[in-house]
Amino acid sequence: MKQKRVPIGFVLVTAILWVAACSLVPFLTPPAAGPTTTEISRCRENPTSLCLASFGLDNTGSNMLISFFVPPSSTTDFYLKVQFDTDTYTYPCRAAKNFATSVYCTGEQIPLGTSINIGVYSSKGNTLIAQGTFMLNAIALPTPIIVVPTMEPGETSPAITALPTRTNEISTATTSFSRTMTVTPPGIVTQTPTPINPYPNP
Amino acid sequence: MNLLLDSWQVLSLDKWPIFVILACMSWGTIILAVGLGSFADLKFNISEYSSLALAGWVVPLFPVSILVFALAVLFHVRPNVQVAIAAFALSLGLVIWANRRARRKNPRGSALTAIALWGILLLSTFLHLAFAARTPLPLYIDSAQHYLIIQNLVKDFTETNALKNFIWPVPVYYHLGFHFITALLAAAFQLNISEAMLILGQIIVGSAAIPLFFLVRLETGLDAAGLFAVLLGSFGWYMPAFAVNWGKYPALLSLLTTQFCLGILYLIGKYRTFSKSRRLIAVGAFSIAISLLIHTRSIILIGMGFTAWASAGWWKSQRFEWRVLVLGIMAGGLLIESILIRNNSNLRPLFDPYLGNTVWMTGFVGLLSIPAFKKHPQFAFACWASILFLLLGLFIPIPHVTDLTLLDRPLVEMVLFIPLSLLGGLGYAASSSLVPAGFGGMKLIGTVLFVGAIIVHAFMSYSFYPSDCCMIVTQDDAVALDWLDKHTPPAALTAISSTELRITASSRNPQTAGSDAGVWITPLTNRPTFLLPFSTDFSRSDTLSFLCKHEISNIYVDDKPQSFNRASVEEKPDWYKNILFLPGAQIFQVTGCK
Repeated sequence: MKQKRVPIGFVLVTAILWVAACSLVPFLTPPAAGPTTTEISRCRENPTSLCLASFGLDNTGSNMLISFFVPPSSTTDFYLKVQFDTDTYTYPCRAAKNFATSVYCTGEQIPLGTSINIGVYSSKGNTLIAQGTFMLNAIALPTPIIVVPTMEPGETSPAITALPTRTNEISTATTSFSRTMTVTPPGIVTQTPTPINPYPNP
Repeated sequence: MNLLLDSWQVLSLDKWPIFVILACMSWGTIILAVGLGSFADLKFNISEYSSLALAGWVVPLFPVSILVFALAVLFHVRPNVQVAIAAFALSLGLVIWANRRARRKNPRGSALTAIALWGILLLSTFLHLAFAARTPLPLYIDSAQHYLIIQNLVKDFTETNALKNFIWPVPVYYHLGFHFITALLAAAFQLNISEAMLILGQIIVGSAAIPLFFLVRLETGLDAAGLFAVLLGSFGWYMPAFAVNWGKYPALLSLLTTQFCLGILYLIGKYRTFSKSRRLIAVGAFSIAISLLIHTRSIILIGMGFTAWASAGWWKSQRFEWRVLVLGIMAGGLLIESILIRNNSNLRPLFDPYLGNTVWMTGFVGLLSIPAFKKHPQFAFACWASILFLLLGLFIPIPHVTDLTLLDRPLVEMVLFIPLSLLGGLGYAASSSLVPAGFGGMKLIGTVLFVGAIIVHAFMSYSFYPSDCCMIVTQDDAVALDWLDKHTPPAALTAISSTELRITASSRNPQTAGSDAGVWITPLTNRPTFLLPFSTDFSRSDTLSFLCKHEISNIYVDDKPQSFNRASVEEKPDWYKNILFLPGAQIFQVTGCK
């Protein structure tokens, strides 16, 4: 009998946690999505709803590229209508293979420094799912066409990492996979940053 | 709030992989528990059986995966859902029927203990599922390699002409047990490989501490002590769960098989009757062989556990003065090892999970080990000796293999929770025996306080989510990888950045591995890659000559700490054309070759 008392403590604690978890879940489950149009914003850390991840350039066809985070349970079957000035362009979108939460759309390149309105339309039914207005800004870099558009006012640009110190260390090499080759490239390694421990702790 | 919501979301979105993996785990557990009982004539209660068999659920599953693989490659028998379900159900039915026929009587045991044990398992697994809500791919560089091996095996499982087009999954041996099992699950039950890896990993993490119950229960005879060890192992420190951030899936799985083998070895020592131990030795040998295939170093861990137990037996039989002397030597050895580890930059992070904000938990276990030594001297000694051996294994080189030691830092970091949790369980049992008879209420209050402290700690500082340290694939990488797949020829060779893996005491000849999202190019796009040191200076003409000589057509420039330096590529616009630009990932085409 005494032997049974102590497990009761474990059972009690576990049961309380389970009951708490189970009773919270229905309240935590988001309501079913209706046909309402939502406002798109730039993605923050650990996004949970549709948001704009980044702008980019596909220089093979001089296209602008807009990528989105899509929540796992949402549709990835949509396209964009991008409006700037009086023109409206349609951007077909594609879900990134192997990444259920990543969709990117490509289309007409838009001049920098302009404000654009992005409408996200479902491919089935052509209904407007979400929309938002963003400002395209440019950062000039030494290469021919590198554009980092920033979206909302007040956002900071990413931090610039300091260049590593220079030494003449050359790393060794091993072959790991038939489709991944490694060799020792003599003489081409000139920068050795501070070593970072692999398998870092949090 | 978010944690429960995220776990719930994964549970509802990934119902099928979760069901399949849990079903396979239950199948392996039941087969093993029933089989062990009949074959080795063991008589345990449900909690003891389930904690032991949960550690070894892959022991029956691994031979099945090899058999199915052989059938697929040699006789073109394709694994499919219906056949798999039928085979699993039939084998389960047969084993249970045979067991009922034998009319074996096992002790009933406490139902409450069984509920608590399974409650901890389900709760821990449920909470750990939240990890998969925030990442579509398993994390860090190891995961890409695991993915690629599993992908090759799945092709072998499912190709119509597998023998002719047989793909050897990996050029050098790399813990194939985990890969065979995951490939079987993916091929037979139509699971997405990354989903299967992620979910299997979280389920392994959720169950990694359950086997601790078995040894502590058998040694102390107290259910509560076993449960305390399980709770400590599950939520006391961020290891072993954090290892999923490193993609250490085979090592995680081997934590289970290692504990199973140690449990069997403990039983062999306990049951000295010849007929019983002879059969247990057979089970032990078979399980050790499988554990070896799941992770090579698990044999070293098992050997260390066995040696620790044997030396503890010798120690216990010595005179008191000798025992004190040996204890002093052991303490000195631990101190020296700790100093050496703290002074070695490759090994320094080893104690982080146990001395950071969980230092009080480790200290608490240290305190509990004092009564543990008094009441269970051999077991407590074996736990400390195991810690001594584990740390020692970091410095013992493997003969004829350059720069490899018996154990490496990440593995020891992952494994240390086992002896510590066992010590906690033993200490808990020894302390509760100090409570005088008639003070049962005090014991209950003490237990609730102990348990409450671990749970509060878990909710305050335990992270169930992927760590920023190890998420090498960002949203931009996802787009860039897909874009590369769509816009470059299948044979296009892409240079990706690499770094040195310094995880052993020596750092003369470290291994090289990819260091950013580029490692996923081959697994996800089936395009070849070429590892170059992340410090490569692309603005030099000899670098360009090198790229041209090896016909490297693209360079993948990521934004991780050990990615190529973008500035050195952009410095030469005549040599490298930016073909895809995203703030977090760029692809350059090598255009400067004559």
